[in-house]
Amino acid sequence: MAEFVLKRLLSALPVLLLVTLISASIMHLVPGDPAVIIAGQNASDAEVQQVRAALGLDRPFIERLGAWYAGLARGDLGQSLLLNRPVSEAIVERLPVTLALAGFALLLTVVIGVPAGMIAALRANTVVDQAVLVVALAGVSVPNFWLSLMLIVAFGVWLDVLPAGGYIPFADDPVGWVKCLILPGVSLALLQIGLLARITRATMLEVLRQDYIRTARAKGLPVFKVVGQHALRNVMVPVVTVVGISFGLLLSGSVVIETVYSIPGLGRLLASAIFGRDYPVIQGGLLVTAVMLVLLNLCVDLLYAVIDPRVKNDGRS
Amino acid sequence: MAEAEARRPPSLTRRLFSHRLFVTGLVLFGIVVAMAVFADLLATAAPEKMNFRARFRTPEWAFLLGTDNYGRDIWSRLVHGARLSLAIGFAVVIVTGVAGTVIGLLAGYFKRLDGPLMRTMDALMAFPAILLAIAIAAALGPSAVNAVIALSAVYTPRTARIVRSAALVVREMDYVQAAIASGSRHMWILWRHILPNSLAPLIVQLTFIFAYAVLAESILSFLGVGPPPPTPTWGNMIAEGQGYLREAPLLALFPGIAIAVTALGLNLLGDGLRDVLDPRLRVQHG
Amino acid sequence: MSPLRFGRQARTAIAATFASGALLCAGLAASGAALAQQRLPMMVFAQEAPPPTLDPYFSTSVSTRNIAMHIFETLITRDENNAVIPQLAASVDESADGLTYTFKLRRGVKFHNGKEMTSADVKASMERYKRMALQKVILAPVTAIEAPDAHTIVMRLDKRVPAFLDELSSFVTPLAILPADQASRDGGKIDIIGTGPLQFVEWKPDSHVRLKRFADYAVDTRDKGTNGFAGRKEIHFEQVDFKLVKDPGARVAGLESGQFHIIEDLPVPAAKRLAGNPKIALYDLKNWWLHGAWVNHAKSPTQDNRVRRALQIALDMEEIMEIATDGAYVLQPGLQYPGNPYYVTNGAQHYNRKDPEGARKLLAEAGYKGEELVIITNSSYQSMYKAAQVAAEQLKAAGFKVRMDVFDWATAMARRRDANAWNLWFTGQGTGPSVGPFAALKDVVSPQKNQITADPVIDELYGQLITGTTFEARKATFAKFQERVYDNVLFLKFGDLTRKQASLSTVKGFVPYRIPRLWNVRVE
Repeated sequence: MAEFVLKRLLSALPVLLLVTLISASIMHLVPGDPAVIIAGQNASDAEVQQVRAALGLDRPFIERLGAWYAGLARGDLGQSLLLNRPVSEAIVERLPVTLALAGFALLLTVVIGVPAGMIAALRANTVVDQAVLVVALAGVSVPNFWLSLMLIVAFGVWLDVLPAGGYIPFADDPVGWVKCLILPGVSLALLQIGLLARITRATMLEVLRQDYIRTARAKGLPVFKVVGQHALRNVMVPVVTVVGISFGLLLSGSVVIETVYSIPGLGRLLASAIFGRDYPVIQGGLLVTAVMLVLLNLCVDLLYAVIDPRVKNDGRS
Repeated sequence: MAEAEARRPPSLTRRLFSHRLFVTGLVLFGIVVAMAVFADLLATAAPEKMNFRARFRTPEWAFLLGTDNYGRDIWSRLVHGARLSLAIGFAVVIVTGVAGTVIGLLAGYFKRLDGPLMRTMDALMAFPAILLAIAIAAALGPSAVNAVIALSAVYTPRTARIVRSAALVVREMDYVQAAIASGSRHMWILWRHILPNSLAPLIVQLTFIFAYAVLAESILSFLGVGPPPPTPTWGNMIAEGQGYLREAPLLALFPGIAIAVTALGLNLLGDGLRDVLDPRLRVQHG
Repeated sequence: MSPLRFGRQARTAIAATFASGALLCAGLAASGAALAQQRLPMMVFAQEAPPPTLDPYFSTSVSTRNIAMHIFETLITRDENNAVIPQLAASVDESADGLTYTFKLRRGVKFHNGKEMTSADVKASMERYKRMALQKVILAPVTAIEAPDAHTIVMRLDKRVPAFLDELSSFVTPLAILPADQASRDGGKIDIIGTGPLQFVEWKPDSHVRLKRFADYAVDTRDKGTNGFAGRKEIHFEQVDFKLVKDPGARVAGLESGQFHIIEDLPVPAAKRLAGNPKIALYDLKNWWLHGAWVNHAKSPTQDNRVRRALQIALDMEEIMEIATDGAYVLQPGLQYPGNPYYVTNGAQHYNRKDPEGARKLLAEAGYKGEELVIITNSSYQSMYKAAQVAAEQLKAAGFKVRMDVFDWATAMARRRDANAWNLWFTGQGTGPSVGPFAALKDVVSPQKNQITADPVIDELYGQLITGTTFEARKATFAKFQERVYDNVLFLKFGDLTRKQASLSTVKGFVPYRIPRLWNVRVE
């Protein structure tokens, strides 16, 4: 097991290196730099150049990239150009917010998606089944930033029961914290509920077809008991996989949701950093995101192997 | 796709068309395609024409869905927006399909290429998709073509993965092993054996990618890095309507519905295709 | 559990709870009454953009200035009518030959670290400004800065600069007085210590900048109340939070829910909606931006002045400004704002002509063969984006072939430096015109020359402008300067944008200005 983990982590290193190279290269190709933002709207070219020189942005790309890697080797992600603090601090401040949002969305996804999928499977090929499928697909089809805007108008403005945006930390006001997360959590979860429901349904159908289940049902055991004892365990395998993938998708989906709802999370940090050309934040933030995804995939694979040791570990399909 | 069908039992078409959800999806998507194709006929005004005195009108005979803050007819912009949005989606499907297939086949078939190719694909997939698209679009400049490039870069790795998985499986099959052993040329084996048997999951994936691409283009336009005005896309219609959300919610409402209908149609299509082409795929595909 | 088992104990506990609760309430009520007579704990102002830095020398951005001008003060500054007035200076004296300026400093002015401000601090600040401030060119003619005693500063210039005090009092990159030990600090790396009425507490990016009342602030008693950036400043709160709220909808929602006291930049449709709301007070900040577009004189087809003239006369400024600002605008041709002593209307014959037919004729005359007119606008400032869309349609109707490129702000700024990338570059000029004629549109002058090709006439006129020895001479030159801008189409002006601000109606004493002034403001 330890060997497996180590092998996976080692094989992730070249991927992480590639991630940093790709992000640096793409940002190098994006025109503009933070000097124009810092110098302000009225600054002349000479003034912008002054800021650029003061920040070291006129050094050659390779030199700046080298300096960043050198810092990385020391464990230093550098200083944000626009936020006046170390990159690591900026990330650490925002990570819990995104994790809270993604966690909340994941909770909604599982709580709604798994039962929906199971019901659809138990009532396979009936109207209920088709309805669940269509609703699930509708959730995936609706553009979630647009839905967010509509939800804000409906709940935040017309009905005025939920905040129209912003974030209140749990420590400040637990009730407010929950209220802030409801609309964005729902917007995020909609993407994944459909996915999870359909996978659960498909797996349940497979499992229900198994002989020992049919035997149990033929024996007259109640449906829920049969499902609970036998089917659920088998359903967990792909469900866990999908949940793992979902969490990764939720993290990236949070970019747009956090922007629309003005939530100070990692997604919005990265999006603003790209528009503000805050290179250290982009580099550091994308690296952290990639590391999280690698660890997440690793956990999922480990869980997968633990739940069903018959599964071969040569990669998910 | 025609080749694959010819090899299969003729009841495929019948099976497809008796699948209720597939047909629903086809109808929905068909309506949108018709809107795009017949946009010139369906539109009641030029989509860029501004009417200074007719701003923020609610739906009426002259302006079926009302007008926006420039006084432009929303209905006409909606039908013309279908063109660019669908064109971009279609282009992404083509580019992703070709690139993903090539990479996936090479990775699945040639063991030495598998490692480096898949590492690169993994690295691209480690980026939150929308950030990668934003960065590429910002680097290349805002245009429909660059949006296609950006989105293709995001979806190719996922497609390559699917094709590779299928290729891996097919490569191990007896008749392929026999062909390799008997010295057949690799290209021929790829073309004749591997590719056709990897098509089913690919096609299903591509319908979903069409849907993702339409959705993603709207996000790019919403964030300001999509195709530039004045050509309407559903995404930039929503972006322009965002500033008037409270006072004139209709501006953002209709394009969002249009996107949802398109994506839903495509998703139903894809689901139906998957159910019919290969029921085993239901569990495999995420 | 039998309810009687803990009966006595329960009753005692309940009684004790009530008693202590009552005591607590009484205590709170008493202290509440006491507090009500003191200052309110916090004033919350919601601003749009996060400040890129709090070092006033290192940025020209409004978001920095909003906050910095509460923390720092300058020797001289501008009053309510944009005239030069002293702030930290007790008096200013200009020598007859204009080569020596003597400032006497006010006494008893304290920094936030408790130390008293002396000429050593002023000298050090000026030296830092000359070394690294974005507008250090203001101090270029200064050859020596002397501090003969603790409360006197003497500046010696190598040539006469009639506009020197205007420049020195400019608030674009203000010459804030910092403690002497900050002299060697690089841009953005100073300790945030000034002499202003509010003191820096903390800066949480993406959230807020928190300031607190400086108890030992030396109030300038020369004025009765607020006067531009100076005047008698009194803070009626213990703390002031500048909350950073990018989304306009969120700012409005925060105001309506009482979360914010005052908000910067309210969208016009929201202002219309809130007009009848008794809980909200609305303000118009006139002349916030001069909307317009730079014209590229180096790239075809706008290298030909006939084509440029066609552009100029084709446009309907009313339509552009109405759609771009949703009604918050004023149409007037001047590069200065009305009420300003240098306000002139030369060039008005070319402004807002609304003549697409005349434009077509000019294009035919110029032999226009349908070369593409490239417009650059940006997605970051909605009014610029909308103005460009309207202008593009108008120009198409006049016979131009138009291509529009939309970029985010950083890219748009980068593209402006590429002479081949654009013919029209949409923007807003704000601080320049508000500072005075020397800064209004000085970007047409070499070496900046936003129009790409140097215009020797305008360069000459600018030289005359800043060396004009009398007000009348300078005003006459400015009239010629503005005329030339219109004649040679160096810049296309659309109109003046009015910025909308809003507060709770319980907020009293807020008068809109180039920055939101939170002194002398009360909440009732």
